Amino acid sequence: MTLNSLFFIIFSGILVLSSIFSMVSKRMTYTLLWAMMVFLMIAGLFLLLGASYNAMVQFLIYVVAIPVLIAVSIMLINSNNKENTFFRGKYSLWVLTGVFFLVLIIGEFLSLNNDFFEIIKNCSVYVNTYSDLSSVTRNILGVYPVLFLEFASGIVLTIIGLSHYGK
Amino acid sequence: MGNNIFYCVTSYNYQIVSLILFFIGLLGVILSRNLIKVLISLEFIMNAVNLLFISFASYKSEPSYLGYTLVIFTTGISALVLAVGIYFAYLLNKKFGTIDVVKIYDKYKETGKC
Amino acid sequence: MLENFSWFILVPVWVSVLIMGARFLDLPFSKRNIVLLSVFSTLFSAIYCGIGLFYTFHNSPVEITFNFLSVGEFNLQLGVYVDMLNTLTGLAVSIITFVIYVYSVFYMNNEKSFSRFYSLMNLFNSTILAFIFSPNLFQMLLFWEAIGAVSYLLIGFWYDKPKISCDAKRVFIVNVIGDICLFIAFISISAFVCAVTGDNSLASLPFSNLNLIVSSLWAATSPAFYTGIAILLLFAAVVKSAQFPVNSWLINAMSAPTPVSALIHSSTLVMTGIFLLMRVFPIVASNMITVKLMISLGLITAIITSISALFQTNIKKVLAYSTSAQLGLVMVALGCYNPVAGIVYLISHAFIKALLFMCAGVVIKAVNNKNILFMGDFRTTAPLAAISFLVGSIALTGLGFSGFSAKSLLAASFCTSPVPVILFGFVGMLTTLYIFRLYFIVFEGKHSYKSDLTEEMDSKLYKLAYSALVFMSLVVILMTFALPSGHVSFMYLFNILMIIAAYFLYNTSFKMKKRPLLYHIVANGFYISKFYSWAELTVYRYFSVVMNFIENYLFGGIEYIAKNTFIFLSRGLHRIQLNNFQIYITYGVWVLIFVMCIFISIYMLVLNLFGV
Repeated sequence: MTLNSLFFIIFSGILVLSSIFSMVSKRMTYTLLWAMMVFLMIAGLFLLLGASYNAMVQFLIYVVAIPVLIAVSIMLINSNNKENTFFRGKYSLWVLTGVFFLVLIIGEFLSLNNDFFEIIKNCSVYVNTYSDLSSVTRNILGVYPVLFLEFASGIVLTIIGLSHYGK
Repeated sequence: MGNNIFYCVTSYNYQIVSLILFFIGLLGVILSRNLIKVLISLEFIMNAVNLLFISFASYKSEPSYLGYTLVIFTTGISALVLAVGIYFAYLLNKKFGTIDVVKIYDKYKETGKC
Repeated sequence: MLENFSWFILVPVWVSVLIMGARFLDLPFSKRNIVLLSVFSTLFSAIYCGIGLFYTFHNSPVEITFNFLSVGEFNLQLGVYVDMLNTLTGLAVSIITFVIYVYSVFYMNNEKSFSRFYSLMNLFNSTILAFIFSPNLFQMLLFWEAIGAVSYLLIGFWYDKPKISCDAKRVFIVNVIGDICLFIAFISISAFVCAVTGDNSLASLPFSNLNLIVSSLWAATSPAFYTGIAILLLFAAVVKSAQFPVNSWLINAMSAPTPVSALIHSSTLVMTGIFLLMRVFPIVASNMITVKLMISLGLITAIITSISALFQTNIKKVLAYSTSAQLGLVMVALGCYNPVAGIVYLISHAFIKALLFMCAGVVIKAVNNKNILFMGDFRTTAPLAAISFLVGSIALTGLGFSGFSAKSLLAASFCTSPVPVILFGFVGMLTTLYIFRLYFIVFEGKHSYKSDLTEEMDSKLYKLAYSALVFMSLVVILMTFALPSGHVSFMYLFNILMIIAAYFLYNTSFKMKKRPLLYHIVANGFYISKFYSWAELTVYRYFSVVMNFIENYLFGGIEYIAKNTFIFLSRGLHRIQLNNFQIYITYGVWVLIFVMCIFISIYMLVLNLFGV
């Protein structure tokens, strides 16, 4: 466990948690504070990646300038009421399932092909032999049943969602 | 072993973090009722993309400053977008008395004009 | 030697382009220069044809070709092919064109677009020369089309008059049918010959290898297919030579200026059909069905058009019907395997008919009308025209001059069986009757026009026309000595009797009080033209009824279904259009899911198919 990986875990953990808190919090000022935390953590990740100039710009703009702007606007608009504005209830079920499936599919895609991003990174032509995938692809059905289930359930949920709208 | 986070941090880990941040931002854009919260969520999305750019640029085998340079531009533009969006929010508040998007739409449906 | 002079063929094209270019650029280019250029261009081609004629008396035919179009292994060639048939026809065409150019100065003098007329005439001259000297069927096809197009332009010369423009269109459309027939025949022959011989140099069907082409075509095709190809060739010639089923276009073409009628629709253009038949004679003549068809079509045309010509009041239409009839006789001669008589009669007829048309043009110009009822007693005002017309009439009937020997030769080819001989005699008698009817009504008879025409007809322009007429009559008379002498048959007597009958019928102020029973049928050319109009209208009407049904019930049904489907769908989609940006982003997320599913499926499929 290197220092780099330790910092990465700390930064990314705080980032994810604070972004969730930012979305869930009931007051706008808290939202703003958690968002500042997120931006700060991203600046830290930039530093870890070696992009110190970008980190500096990120800090100056997102942690100093923009929160001031937003704070002033909150003051002007006077919308710092304590109310839960995140879960709409009306179509949150539909949206959450959609995002869940999207994450599932992307994760599946990534797990199927670890080299996918490597290829993008190296900007090389797609010429490769997928020995790891052979166990999956040799099966005639492969991942198609999974894909089909996901797709079909997505369609069904869409139809259910659409049929509830406009009423 | 290469993907084990406790031994070394790869581009893959950054991509996962970026993805999570992106989807939290997306959920925020879709589900928030407060317009300023929507704008902050947009900034999350922008930042997720920036992070992805920087990670690609850093993990590239040959040194390339295109990613770094591009991120500066996107930062500036997203700040600009936010400023304009906040101005619109202020105008809407002046007109409708609220920045709750659902209430704004309800009022729009009642009056038929914006 | 001939190789060095073959550019003479191109002279008329250059002249045409020069005249037209001068007109477009508004250069000072006087009428005199235009006429001189045109006349010299025809003289060049006449010299070339004369040289070629003397050359081919003693030598084998000359062929000069170059590659025009290379498609894969196939080379389509253009060039020049010089033999007796070419040079004889070319010489006749050149001389007629020369005389017509001089004559056109008289006829088209007051015309605004004088230069356009001469440009088009030069263009026509060049296309007809290129057609006549074509070394292969491909070039023949190309210039066959070109002749039709230029003829269309010349018929519609006064295109601002709706009737004339309509006539030009009719003629062009009818000619295109023949073009298509020739095109199909050319493609089929070329494909079969190349497939059998394996020799791609035969793709453009050169006439120098015609025996090989005919034998390989005979070997390659079934008898039915061979007959089909031969009938297509025959039909192309029939259309161009104005034979029976489609002879009415020649009558429509009479709305052209008279010099155009004299050059194109009496001698040169209608000759091209027969010329094509002579070129591909081995293909056509080796099939009995085609030969019988040729003979019967020729005879039917000759009889029908001769009878129709008797009852026309339009002077040009009489001559047009006469042209169809004479070409029908030539076609019968070809069907009787006597092409020499055919070509001799064709060339002599070209000169005679050009002469007759030119005389008619003088008269038409004088009274400014084509109706013979407004003419009469031109013998006193225009004696030279009357004499020329008389020479032409006598030659046409076969009583003397070049027509005598030519018609004797033609009669010899009819002696295969009694029926053609009788019909030939009948047609000859009718010919005599209608041509002397014209002569007696127009040049003798009552003085029925304004009296101050005598001074006008002695003017300089008319003298130019008379000189052209005299030159042409001299050619007709002198051709008698070039042809083998004929023999006097019993038909000669009948023809003289017909002249006497015409004198008593038409010389006096004759007017038919009571019209014969079949007058309207005959005077309208047996309603052939009207039959086509009627058939076209009827077919089009019933076709449109069917298409209307299809449109209303088939396409209308499809339209109804499509309309209602989209109305139904939009009713559904209307409900999800909430005017809310957040819901639109949500739709975007679902679209993203869908697209990614498809991408992953394609990716896995590619891996399954091509991956390891």
